[in-house]
Amino acid sequence: MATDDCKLALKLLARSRNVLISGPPGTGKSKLLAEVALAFEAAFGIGPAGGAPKLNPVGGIPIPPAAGGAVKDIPAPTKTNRKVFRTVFHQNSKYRDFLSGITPAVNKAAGAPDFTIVKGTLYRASEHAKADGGAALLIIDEINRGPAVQVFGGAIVAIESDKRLAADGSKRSETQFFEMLDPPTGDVIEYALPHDLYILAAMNQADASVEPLDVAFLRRWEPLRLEPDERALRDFYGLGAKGAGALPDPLVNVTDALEASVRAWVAVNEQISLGRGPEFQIGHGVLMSDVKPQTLPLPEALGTLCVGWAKVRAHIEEVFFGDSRGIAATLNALDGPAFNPFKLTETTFADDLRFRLEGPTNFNEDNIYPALRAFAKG
Amino acid sequence: MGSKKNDVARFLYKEIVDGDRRKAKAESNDSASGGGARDFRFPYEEVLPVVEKIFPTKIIRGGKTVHQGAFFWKEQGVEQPISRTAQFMSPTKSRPREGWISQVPKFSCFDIERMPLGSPTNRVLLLLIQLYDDTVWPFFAEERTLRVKGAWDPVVAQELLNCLDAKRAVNRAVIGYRDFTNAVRFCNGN
Repeated sequence: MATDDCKLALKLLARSRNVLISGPPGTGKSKLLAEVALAFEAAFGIGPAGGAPKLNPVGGIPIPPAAGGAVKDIPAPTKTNRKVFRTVFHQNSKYRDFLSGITPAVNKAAGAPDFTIVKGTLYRASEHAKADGGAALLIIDEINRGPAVQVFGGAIVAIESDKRLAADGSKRSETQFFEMLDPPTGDVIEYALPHDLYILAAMNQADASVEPLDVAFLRRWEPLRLEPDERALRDFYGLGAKGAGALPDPLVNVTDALEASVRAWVAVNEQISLGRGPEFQIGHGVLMSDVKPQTLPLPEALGTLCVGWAKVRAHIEEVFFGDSRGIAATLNALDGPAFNPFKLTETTFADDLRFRLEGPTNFNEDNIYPALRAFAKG
Repeated sequence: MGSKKNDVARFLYKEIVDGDRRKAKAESNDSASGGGARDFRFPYEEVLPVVEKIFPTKIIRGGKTVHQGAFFWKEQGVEQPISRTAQFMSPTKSRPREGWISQVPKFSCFDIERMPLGSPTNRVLLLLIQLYDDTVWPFFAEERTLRVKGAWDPVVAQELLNCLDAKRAVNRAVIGYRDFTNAVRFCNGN
C-alpha cells in the first residue's frame, strides 16, 4: 500500500497540479516518483480514504462505491482513462522534444514531406488528459539537469493550476494560452493545458544545474521536500532506536557494525549541514540495497558496508572538493581518535601551509568498523 | 488511510455464456447427451499473470501444471465464510490454448440459482476478486448494474464496461483482468 510520502504527493498534486520533489541524493526521490506513478495509474485512492476498491462480500454489488461521499486528496478521482508519461531532463533536452517542433522525417515514404512535427511529452500527456475520461500524470526526473525554463517555453505560465482549461475542457477567463506548432496540422495555434494534467518533477538541489531554476519557475510548483531519514535506515538494518552505550571495541557482531554505520551516517550529515548546508547531505538510500546486511555473516555484512560507505566518501569528497579540512572535519579527522584510519597532516608548499588528508584508498573489512566508530565520534 | 480490510488487489473476469450455464446445470457444453466438462474456460497465456496470483500454488500432475488456490464465499445466515480448494488447469494437447477452473459444481457460489439469467443486452460476468489478504471471492456481475452510475466502484465498473464494449468476434466471450497492485490489465477486445 501507498507510503505516507506517496499519499502526500497525491494530495499535493490534487491540490496544486504541479509538484516538485526535492531533497539530497539517496532520500528516495526517484523511488517516490515510481510509487506515485503506480498509484496514479492503478487508481489507488478512488476511495475517500485513499485506498483501493473494497469488497462487500454480503451485499448485492460486490465492489460498491466507497462510502463517505466526495473523494478528496486524489488527482482526478472520477477519471478512469489514466496514463503516466515520463521524461528525464538532461543537458540536451529541448522544447521540441517536450512540446512540439520540426524534425527531419526518418524512413519517410516516397513523396512525403522531408520534415515532420514532433509530438513532445508534455503535448502527448496534455492530449491524453483532454480525451474523454482522461487524466495524465507527467513525471519529470532530474528537472534541473536540463534547461528547464527553455524546455517549457511558452507553457511555463500555462502549467499553473489556475491558468488551465476548465474541468469540462472549456476556456475560462483565467486560462493562459500560448503559441505552439500544432503537430496534426503544422499550423501555429493557441494552446492551453487541461484541468487533469498533473506534473510531478524531482530534483536534487545540491546538483549543479545546466541553468539555474529561477524563482518565477519554482513558484509554479508546490514543493515536497524529502530529508535523510534515520528511522528508515534503522528499519532497513533491523535496528531499534539508538541506545545510550558507546560502540564496542573490538567489534562483536553484525548489529554493532550496523549501529556504527547509522551513527556515522548521522554524524557525517551533521557535519555536511554545518560545512556546506543541509541540501548537501547524503540520503539513507545510499546505504540501502536489495541485500539485508543483518542476514549476512559478519565479513560479508562489512563488505556491504564498504560498498555503501565508498559512495558516502565519494559524496563527501565531491561536496568539499578542494577543501581538505572540510573533508577531514566531516570524517572526524581533525582532532579525532587515534583509531581513525584518516588523518589530516600539515605540510608546506612554496612556503605556504598545505593540508593533506591521509587514509586508506578504499574501505575494507579491516578498516571499515574503526572508520565508522571514528566518524560516529564513539 | 482507512483499514486495508477487504481492499481489492485484482480481479479476473469472464463472460458467462450459454455453455457455462449448461455446465453449471451439469449438462453437456456441446451436445444434448448430458455430461461433459464442468468448468470455466479462459485463454491460458493471456490470463496466466493473474492466474498465478489467484491460484498461487503450483502442482505438477501427470506432467501438467495445476494452479491451486482457494475460493471464499458467504452463505446466507452463516457468519463464517466457506472456503474450498480451487484449481486452475493448464492446457491439454487437445485444447492447447485453454486453461480452466475445474469442478465448478463443487462450489455452491457457482450454483445456477445464483447465476443471473442474463440476456444479449444484459451480459453476465463471473468475477474472481482477490483481496490484499490473498483470499479470492467469486461473484457474478450483471451488465445492467454496471451501467447504473453509483452502483459499483467507478473504477471497477469502468474497467468492466470498457471490456464489455470493446470490439471482438461475436462468438468470443468477454475475458479480462485488472491488477491494482501493478497497474497491469488485460481485455480480449479492442
